[in-house]
Amino acid sequence: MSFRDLARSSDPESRRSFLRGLAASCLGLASYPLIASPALAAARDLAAFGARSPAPTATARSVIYLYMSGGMSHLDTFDLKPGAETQGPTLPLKTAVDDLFISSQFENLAGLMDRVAVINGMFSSQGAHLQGRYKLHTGYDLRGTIAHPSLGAWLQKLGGRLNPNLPAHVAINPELHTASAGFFPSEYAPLPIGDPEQGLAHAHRPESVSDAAYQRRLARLARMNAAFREKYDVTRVRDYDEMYAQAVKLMASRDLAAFDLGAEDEDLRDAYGRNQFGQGCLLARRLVEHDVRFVEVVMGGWDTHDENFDRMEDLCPVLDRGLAALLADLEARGLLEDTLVVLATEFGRSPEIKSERNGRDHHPKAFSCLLAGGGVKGGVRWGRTCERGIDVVENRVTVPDFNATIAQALGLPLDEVIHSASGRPFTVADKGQPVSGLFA
Amino acid sequence: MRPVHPFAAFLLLVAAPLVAQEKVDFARDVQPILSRSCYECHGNPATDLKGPSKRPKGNLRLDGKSYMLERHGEAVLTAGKPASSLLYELIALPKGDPDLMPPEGGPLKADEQALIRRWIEEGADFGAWEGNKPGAGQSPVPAAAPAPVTSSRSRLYEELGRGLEPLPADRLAAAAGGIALIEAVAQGSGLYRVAFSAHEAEVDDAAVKRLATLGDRIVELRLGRSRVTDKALALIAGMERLARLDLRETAVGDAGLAKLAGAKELRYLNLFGTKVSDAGLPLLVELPRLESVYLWRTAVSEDAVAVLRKRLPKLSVVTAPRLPANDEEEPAPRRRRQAN
Ligand code: HEC
Repeated sequence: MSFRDLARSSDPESRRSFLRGLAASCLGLASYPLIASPALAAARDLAAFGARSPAPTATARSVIYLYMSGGMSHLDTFDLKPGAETQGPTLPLKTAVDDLFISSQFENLAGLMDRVAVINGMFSSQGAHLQGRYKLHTGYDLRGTIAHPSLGAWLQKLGGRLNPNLPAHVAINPELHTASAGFFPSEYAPLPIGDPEQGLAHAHRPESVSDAAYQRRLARLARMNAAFREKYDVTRVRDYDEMYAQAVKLMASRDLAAFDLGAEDEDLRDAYGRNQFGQGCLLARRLVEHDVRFVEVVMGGWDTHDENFDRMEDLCPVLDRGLAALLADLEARGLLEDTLVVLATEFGRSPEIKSERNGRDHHPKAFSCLLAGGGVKGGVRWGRTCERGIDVVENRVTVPDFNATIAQALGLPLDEVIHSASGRPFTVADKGQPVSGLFA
Repeated sequence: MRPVHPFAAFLLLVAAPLVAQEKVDFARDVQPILSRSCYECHGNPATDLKGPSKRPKGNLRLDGKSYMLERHGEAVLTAGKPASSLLYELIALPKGDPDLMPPEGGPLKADEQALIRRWIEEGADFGAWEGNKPGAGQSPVPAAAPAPVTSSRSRLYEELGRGLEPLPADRLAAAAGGIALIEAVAQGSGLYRVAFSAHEAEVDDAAVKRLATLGDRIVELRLGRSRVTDKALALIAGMERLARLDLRETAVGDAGLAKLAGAKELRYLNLFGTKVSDAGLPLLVELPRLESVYLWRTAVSEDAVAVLRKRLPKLSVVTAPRLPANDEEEPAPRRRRQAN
């Protein structure tokens, strides 16, 4: 019996569909257990209801990591070069910060740029999508021999979880090589949410099943599983049990409401934008309010080899609305001071405009990312590219440096070494150094 | 040559062979000098090198035997001949010479120079030492801890916590009562931050009373969405070092705010979704260090906020957010196949 069979053989009624729903939205059975372990097994988690001490003083408790998949053009978003022949038709817009101009597509963000640090000096060593995405998420190069954990998994590992009922780490609209547990046990994998509107589909007990009947079913399942476990006592089976136990706990918890966008005002939902990204941002805010520590929201479509400028007109307003609403909403609730909002992408796009396609190609040696809240200074630009946006000429920030900056804000020990099963040493941001100038 | 004192001559005769017998051991005697004075610029790019470009200076690595012996160009080491070994030549240059190594911080001490010279004269034997090798790539030794980065928050907590020892675990556990998450604000700090994630519903005034046993050690307290009432605020006001207090979506109102007066270190006060009203606002003036207060979804009027802003121009008074206007609907981002 394979685990796939195990999943299939489950009772078709009732809450098990919840588990299958989760599995279905997942990228493959290898990353099966989706809800992190409640066992509080790690020493840090054990101490959760006692005391523990992180390394640096954290300025952020949680991260909302907005990932622009495909490679967001820096010249057409946050690193404009008005007058340069590489600029193309994109127009600059004045912002709340003197001397800071962003694309005119960002009408709502412009007024909030005094809350945002714009990092124009980003540099990556990886110019292909999967490799670049992997590098951004893990800080390491993609290799055949090891799977590195992504930042959210590191946060859970080194910082522990805050809310024992909820996963520490959630990925909304995930793609291949976005958030993952890497070589950490599967309890560090993010809970994937395929559609923010659906939240946790199937998480409610159907009316037709009484609580008593439900408890009987659980007991029966436990007996069945015990026999199976006896025969195949391997980690994955225990992981699966773990996930089941966690799911049951979550279903009973009032924290389940965190996943329900229906609890929000219609106006507020509109403000975020009625699309996967906007609603994902809103869901991220709800999860962070419930002390989920790391929420990634992926927005695809940025790979603008063709018709870059037309496509910017579709993409930027979605980003503008979702991010602006998120920043304003977090701030009004007093959450922005403790929540680090990150806007990241695998690379920028070539300043040279490919005239036959009116597009831009991959450009890892200079691009832009944003940080806001969580103790990071607003209204600053860090790093500078040359007049045409080709090279970083001042304050280069490598991907490991960027990740180290995020880890620093979270108070994670940058030098704590975790060994993979094969005994190789790894740290949260490889050899990256945090950008100290970004902290208020 | 200067005349030698007879006694010194005797010493030279007797002692010199003894000293010469003790051959220089590279790993024990020389490598530590190179590691200390040279690896910063001529080491492993993954672990030793400082600065943004991270490439060994002069394209020379001194952290592995093969790098030193099999390098193109002028010989770094010629066994038995210090004078035709760049490694020695460049450390023996006079102070101020532009080619002197290390370029900063003056030349190596005379005895260190002499040691390296002797090691080369004796055959530049590395013994069993090999160091890093090409292909083996990155040294498995992880980078040293980076210089500490500070933030206004870390500086504040350092100041507030000066001289305080961490509290014993049993005292923390008793205060936590099984529902509070208590963490030190930094390694070794005697100050703590407290939250009740997932247990808000169990948090009432009694829980705050338990916490109050930690008294002035709490700098951050999160009671959002809990069942605390105005009464608990008298206890909270007694937490002398409290810098951040989150009361969002609780039943706390003006009477509670009145009790908070005099919380002299309070910087952040989250009253989002509480029962606070115009009558409570003037009380904020009693909080001398307050930097930000959150008032969205309270009964506080715009007029009262305007008065407060005028009175305390430096205070950040946060009310309803300015959200993107809802006039238009935009389509979801188009997705196209990605080229790799
Ligand atoms: C602060 C950085 C720095 C330190 C520390 C340093 N070096 Fe250098 N070293 C350089 C630079 C830069 C060059 C290249 C100079 C040039 O090409 O003009 C160089 C070149 C050399 C060369 C010549 C390589 C060649 O073929 O031209 C040798 C040999 C050398 N260093 C040895 C040492 C030794 C031995 C130490 C330690 C005692 C040391 N260096 C410490 C920066 C440093």
